Parts: sequence; C-alpha cells; structure tokens
Amino acid sequence: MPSPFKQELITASLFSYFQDQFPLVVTIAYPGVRIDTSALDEWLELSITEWTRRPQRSGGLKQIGLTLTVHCFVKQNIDKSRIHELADAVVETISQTTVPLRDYDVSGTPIIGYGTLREAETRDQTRRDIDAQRHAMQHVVITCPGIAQQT
Amino acid sequence: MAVTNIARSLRDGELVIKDGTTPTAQSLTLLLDEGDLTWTERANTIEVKDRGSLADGHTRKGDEESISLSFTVKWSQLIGKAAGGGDPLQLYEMLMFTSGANVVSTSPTGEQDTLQLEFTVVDPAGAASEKITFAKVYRESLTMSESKESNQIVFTGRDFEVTPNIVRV
Repeated sequence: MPSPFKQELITASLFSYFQDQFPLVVTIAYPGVRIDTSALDEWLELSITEWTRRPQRSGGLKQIGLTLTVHCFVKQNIDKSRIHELADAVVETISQTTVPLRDYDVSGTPIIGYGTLREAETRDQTRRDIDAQRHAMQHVVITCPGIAQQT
Repeated sequence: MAVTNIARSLRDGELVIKDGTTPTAQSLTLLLDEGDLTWTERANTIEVKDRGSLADGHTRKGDEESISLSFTVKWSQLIGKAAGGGDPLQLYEMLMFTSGANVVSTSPTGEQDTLQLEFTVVDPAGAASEKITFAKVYRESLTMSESKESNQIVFTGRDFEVTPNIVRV
C-alpha cells in the first residue's frame, strides 16, 4: 500500500534536506521548537507558510503547492554583511531545487514524491527607525514557492 | 432510483487510453491530465428552402459527422517503453505509435491508426457512475509546450463514430 501524501511527510523531507545541505553552521529553529536566542548572535527560522491545492482528478497523482519561508536573524553587534551571507546561502540552498520526498515512518524510507522549489524572493525586514536600536537586529525573509508532486 | 442530480466535476473523471492489442489491450490511465476533456457530437442538416422561404421549405438529414475531441496532460516523461522494454508505456509514445512501444491500432490494418479512449465519470453519490467509450480515436495534432509551472501535451483528434458508447458502470 503506497504511503499517504501528507504535509507531515513533505515537511520532514524538505526540512531534512535543508539541514543537510545548508553550508553554514547556524542554529535553525523549526516550527514548534523553542530556542533560547538570548545567547545567539544569529539564527534561522524555517517554516512552510502556505499549502495550496488546485482542482484535480481525485484518482490522479496529488500535487500540492507550497511556500517555504526562511527568516534570517543577525544581531547588530557582529559583521554587518553577515545577514547577506546568510541570505545568499539560503537562496543558493533552496532555489531551483528538486528534493526527494520520503516516508520516514516506513522501513527503507521510500520516495513518495518530489518537491520542486522554484525561484526564491528576498525581503529585508530590518527596522530603520530610531526605535530599532532597542531591537538591534537585522532581519531578512526569504520565500520560495514550490510544488510537491506524488509519484 | 439510480440517477443522482449532483453536478459532476473534473474531480470525478478518469481517462484511460487503450490500444488494439489482443487478447489484452495495453492500457494507460492518465494521472496528470488537466481535467479538460472536451468532445463535440455534431449533426449536419440540409435546409431546403422554397424560393427562400423557411416556412414553405423542409429539412433533410445531412452527412454523418465524426466526434471531435481534445484533452490536455501535464508533460512528464515522453518515452518509456520505446527506450527500454522494461519501462512503462508513456502517453506520448502511445499517441504517436512510436516504434518500439508496440502500440496496436484499434482499426483494421491499412486504416488510420486509432486508439480507444474510456472516460469514466464517478457518481459522487456512488449510485450511477458512467463510462463513455470512444472506440476509434485518431490524432489530428499533438502539441507540446513549455510553461513556467508544468509543460503540457495537448491532444486534438476525432473519434470515427457519430456518438460515443455510454454505459452505466
């Protein structure tokens, strides 16, 4: 019996891929996991912020649209270009990438589909106002639309 | 009563293509079709007017007309069986009767190559599903196009019948 094509499995595969492929050593926060950032100078927050399903044959292969979102945070007491280094590394890791989606609950972790991430978009959310000194934080958000396809 | 007046949608349909291999036809269920199957059953009529007047004129049945049909599928693999005998048959090579795919026409030798299309529409209420069979479908055009989301294959052709065969399943 084929594995169900569930968000849980898709998420696990995409996050696992990111963790394995991201080239820099940075703490990564995943949804539902709390991290203490008081002692950190930089970290990433990873989530899938959108799931979309278009009309399709009920008996056909499932296709689910998604948006992978990565928040990059860097405290302003370190190198000012570090935020761009992180953002570039994230974009390089996820843009135009095809990731095998696996069922980690089954022996042998069979491939149940593929996730294709398209072109990433980067937005700088760092606050520029005078009050921003209180936060002392650089913040860049990278969003990447994609599609998960059952095979 | 087995009839249910629930509107059907593309979610309820399934399109299967079969060839003329005997005793067991090669069969391909389309898993990535867009759900835009369209067919048209035409009726030709000869209008005989009396000195330009319809009221005094009459009609006669015109020539029979074959069914036009089309559908669109997301493009995945173009050739499978034709490239490696152990690989599964792919849509493109079936529609094109590609050498090596061993696709057999549903029409007699010497006639145009045709395939059988079976379109099943499941009754959402589970009472009266229907299968529409087009027995002799030949290709007029096959258009492959690129797209930023998914490439597509568009088939247009005709079924050499006046009406498809519709049965309850």
